[in-house]
Amino acid sequence: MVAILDMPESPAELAGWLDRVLMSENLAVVVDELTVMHQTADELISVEQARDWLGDSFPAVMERGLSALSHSRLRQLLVRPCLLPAIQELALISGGPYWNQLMCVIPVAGVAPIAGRESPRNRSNRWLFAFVPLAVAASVSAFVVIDADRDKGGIKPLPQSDLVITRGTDVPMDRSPPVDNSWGWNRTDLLDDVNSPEEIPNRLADGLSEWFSMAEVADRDLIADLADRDLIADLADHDLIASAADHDLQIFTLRVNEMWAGCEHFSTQPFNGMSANLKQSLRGSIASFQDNLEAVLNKLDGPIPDGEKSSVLEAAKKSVDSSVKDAVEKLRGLK
Amino acid sequence: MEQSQIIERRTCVQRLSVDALIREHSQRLRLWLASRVQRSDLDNASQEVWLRVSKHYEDKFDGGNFRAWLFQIARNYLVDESRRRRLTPVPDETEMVRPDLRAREPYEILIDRERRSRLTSCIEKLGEPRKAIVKARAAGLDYDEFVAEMNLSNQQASQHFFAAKKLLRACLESSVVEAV
Repeated sequence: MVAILDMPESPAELAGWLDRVLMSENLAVVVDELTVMHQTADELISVEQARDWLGDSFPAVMERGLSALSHSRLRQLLVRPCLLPAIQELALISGGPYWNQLMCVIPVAGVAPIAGRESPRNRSNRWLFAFVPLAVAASVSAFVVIDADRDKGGIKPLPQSDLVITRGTDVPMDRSPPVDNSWGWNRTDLLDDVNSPEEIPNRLADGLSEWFSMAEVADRDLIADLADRDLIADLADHDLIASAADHDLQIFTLRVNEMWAGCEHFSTQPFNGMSANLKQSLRGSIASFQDNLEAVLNKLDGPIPDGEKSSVLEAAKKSVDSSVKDAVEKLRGLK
Repeated sequence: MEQSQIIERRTCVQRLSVDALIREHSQRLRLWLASRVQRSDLDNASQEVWLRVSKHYEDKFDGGNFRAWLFQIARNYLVDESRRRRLTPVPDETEMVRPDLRAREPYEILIDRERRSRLTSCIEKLGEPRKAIVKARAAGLDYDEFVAEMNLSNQQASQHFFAAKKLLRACLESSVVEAV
């Protein structure tokens, strides 16, 4: 949905990504999103103006793509996205074999992933819940499979045995279907067989209680069931997971984020047919619980010295456990 | 050769050459149109432009750069559509390269506005520092270039960014459901 979030992090890959955007049917979406993101003015840019902007780089760009531009010039394109359609036209008119080749390999409706590396969007598409109202559950993933490619970036400080995830290792990531291992308020079937609106608070309490059952499983299984594949994979790719404590902290933060997102979802539900009083109480309980989670997340987001990570994690766990317990009790008491 | 035969043969040759042009340039035209018309209008617009090409190719094309001529035809088509729908002031044809001036129905304009508004609102909801990090990343900045200013480590910024991506997607999906 947000195409620009698929923008590669590495500056070296930015030019290639933009080239593929230019040769895709997604260009208008990307231009629109960048315009909103940077609150830039809607300018009219003609082909001639775009050519002037490219200046001496024009022939090189036509020959080998936007990688002919310096990184600072590429950034100018991102914050002045109205240049992109005009540059696209130049490439379509005057572009050489490089652009023709891109045009041929890119699927009609999208932007091709970087060769040899799957784009985050593609990765997420595989595990994103099909059930739209609970898209918050996008943060709940199914499998972490440490395959040959992943090993390159690996979670180095952990012993190899910890990298081998029991579930899913026999199914290569690229072929595995999306598996719904959602839990709690992200479960797609949470309210499926609710007979009356009055049952909803209890059902939400049931869902929330799953926090405790999931917390009891072994760490390795916890990863298999709950780790966010995108997050863990990307952090590992960038060597940003420095220790086992870091790893636990990431997963815990992720789980709390998932609950927070569940609150966000249910706080905006219409709960049709529910009495006004019950609706107000329910929303109040959800908001209060969400505030508690927000407070924990703020602490986890702040700078945490390496030596304190374990103790901070323990304190956060206690706090969240207590908040969940309170919220479950409150929900069960709602009439 | 009879006059009628000459005309028939010429028509046949012309059809063959236009077919060849369509085969060679259809994807190029489609990409150009995709950033200038609504996706739902893409097929229709593409067909209309090729009809115009077919109609005028023999008389109007001067044998120069066919791609440039093709996009000029396409641009003229969009201008005509704009005029027909009388929605927006029609810009000079050579300047009409921006998606917002494409031929659009009122409901399409509303959908675009709604989409932009949703995105803006969801970005606001991210709060700081996530909002600033998302904007910095969307401007192509590397973590090293902005984390210090935000008093964050690379790892924290990265965590914020990935959480922000998830929240943004969730918020947008949720907004769509609400709108429906």
